[in-house]
Amino acid sequence: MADTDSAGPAPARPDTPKSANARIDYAEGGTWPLVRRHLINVALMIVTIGLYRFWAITIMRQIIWRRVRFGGQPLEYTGTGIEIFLGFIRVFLFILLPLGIIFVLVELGLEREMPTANGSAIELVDLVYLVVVLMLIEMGRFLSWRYRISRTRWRGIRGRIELPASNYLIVAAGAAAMIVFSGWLLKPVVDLYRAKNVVGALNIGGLKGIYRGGAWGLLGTWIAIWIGYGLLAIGCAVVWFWLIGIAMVAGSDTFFGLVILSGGLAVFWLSLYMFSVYRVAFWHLVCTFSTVGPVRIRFDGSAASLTRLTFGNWLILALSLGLLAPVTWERKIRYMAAHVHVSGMPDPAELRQVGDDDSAIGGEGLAGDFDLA
Amino acid sequence: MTSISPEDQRGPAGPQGNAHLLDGVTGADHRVAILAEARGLRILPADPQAAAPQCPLLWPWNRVYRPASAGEDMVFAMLDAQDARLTPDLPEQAHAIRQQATGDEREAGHQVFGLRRRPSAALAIGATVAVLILVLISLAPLSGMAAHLLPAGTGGVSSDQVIRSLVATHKRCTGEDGDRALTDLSRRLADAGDIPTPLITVIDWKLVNAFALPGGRVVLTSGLIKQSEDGSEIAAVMAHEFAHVIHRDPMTGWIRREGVSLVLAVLFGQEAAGSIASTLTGTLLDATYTRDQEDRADHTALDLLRANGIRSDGGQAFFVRLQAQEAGGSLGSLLSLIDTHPGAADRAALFGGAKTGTGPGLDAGQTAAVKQMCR
Repeated sequence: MADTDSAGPAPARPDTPKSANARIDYAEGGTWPLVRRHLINVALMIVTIGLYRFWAITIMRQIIWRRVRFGGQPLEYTGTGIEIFLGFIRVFLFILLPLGIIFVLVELGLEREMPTANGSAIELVDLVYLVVVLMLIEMGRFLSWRYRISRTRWRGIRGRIELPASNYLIVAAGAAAMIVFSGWLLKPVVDLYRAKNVVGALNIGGLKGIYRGGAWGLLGTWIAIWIGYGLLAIGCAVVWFWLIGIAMVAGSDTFFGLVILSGGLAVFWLSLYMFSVYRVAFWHLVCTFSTVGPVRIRFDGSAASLTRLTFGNWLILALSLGLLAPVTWERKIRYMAAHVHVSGMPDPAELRQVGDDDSAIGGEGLAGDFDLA
Repeated sequence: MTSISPEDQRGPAGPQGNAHLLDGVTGADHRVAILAEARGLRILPADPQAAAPQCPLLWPWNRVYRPASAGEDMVFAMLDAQDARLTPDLPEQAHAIRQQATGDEREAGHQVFGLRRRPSAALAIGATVAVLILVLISLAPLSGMAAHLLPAGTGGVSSDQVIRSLVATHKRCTGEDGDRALTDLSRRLADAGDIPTPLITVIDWKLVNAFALPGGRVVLTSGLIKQSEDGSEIAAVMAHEFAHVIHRDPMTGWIRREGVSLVLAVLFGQEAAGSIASTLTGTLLDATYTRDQEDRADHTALDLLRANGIRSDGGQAFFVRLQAQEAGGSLGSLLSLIDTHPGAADRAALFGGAKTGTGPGLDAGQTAAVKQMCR
């Protein structure tokens, strides 16, 4: 370019001290502009029989990413609607459609009508089918993370997950098989194994991610939660029969209905709380044992606060029929900003742009199509 | 030091000021002065002692654009250095740059499957809707072909489960003479259609209805039998259901509905807003396909009656009675859109005008025996 001048590649001036802490802030741009844009998006989705959603999600991400500031600098989302859209079409043609055809054949009950097929063979087919479905979900999640990270920039530097999808397919297959054949008992092992693979492949401006934790650290918590769920089920059964006894003696349907409603909400809250215990333990462990270059992360959320966040968001979505979804997104981001702490910030001048992740052009598959968070 | 105070905003070369530059090569901040020239936006490092930005320092106006990823912020990028970002300090400077910048962001980035990375949403949506409409139109013949590739008895076991669940709530009607009469008529109609004789089940249900299921199963309700005035009406209805069996319509419909659901899932995704529209679209499409199937089944039914010399005015009488129950006026026109069957008046006329024979299908004794089954 004859008309442009370019400076030499001299090292840039450090402007952030090493080992500094960095805050995650959500810059308040107002909830109403987000809700207004969301309402427009919903209207356009209806007009375009749903197809506009890929562009709608992109617009919302562009606005929200920009409002999230890390160390005082905003994030930037550079993904496009066409990428997510084509990614979805690709998944539809190569995964959903074949899976749908298999589903149709299974639904037709062809193998059930074959006199040679016995019960155990059919169960094995069903089990393999479940493993394949879970594996595809796992792949969808991976593609989603990879795409979002490759399309997120901070200080102009993009992130990257340097793990080809074909390699992750092995991880996904192993994860799905472990979950199904252990009856979900090994879910925490799979979760941490997945985190190890994803964090280990992370590259942000030349800073490599590492997860130094093990894969078995959450098994005790998970088993305790299972026992908790069992006790809750037994408690519910006892209370149920006790209530039937009272209702038969007192004969009050109103009392019975009120107790059932409040009891149901309490059980729901308790179930949510127990699962939140696991989620908080998971994030605490992953953050504690993960580093990206010199950057360390700490998560100090509690199960109670996460339960309040989740329950509140469900209520908002249910009562507003999804029209106030941006409020729930902001609540999530604020929660993250309040409970994730980062230290050991590198000199920004040491961050070097990594190559564009061309493999992510195909979008994010299925998992991220409808969920902003 | 090349720094311009905010107060000194406008000079002969156009708006000038200070800005924050990320060069897209490293994460370092660069404080720069900006100068609007005729050729483009000139970037001048504010501190000559500091490392210079590693991006072009003259941004021609036709290469400058405001990236969509900037969201609500006034940030600028350049086509020749797409990772670089320039953020003017003051909104007035940003607005002045925006007015002169003529770069097109759609020229930035990689192509996706030969398409621009940022084509207009309308183009992509329009093309996809066209493809999906094509898929929806071709689904009907494709599902018919698929159904004919499957063995005739396919789906029989599943249909038997459906019948068992129906019998659990509505008693099965039986009677030796009635069963014999229906079996005899079934055999004659099936022979004419060159198909294995379908299995007939009569259930005690007030609803006036008859339907065919995959695998050659046909269900008649007691409501339909009781309302029939003679055997030719029952024969006409059975011939119609046997025609569905001949054309494999139940299996075709099943495959088609699954296909339509799949395509609609692509169109609507999981958005709650789409679910009503999705259901409505699916119902309208299914109704259109089904009306065609019903029309074809009526014509085949007349062939079956003709082959057995059974008169068709029984069918006419049946549809005339049905016509009396249909809604009329504008409501009727609206409902006809989602109706799965052609109008009863047209069907009555079709059966009335056909000269298929003079036999009753079931004689008076047989008809009485069939009517006795549900008492």
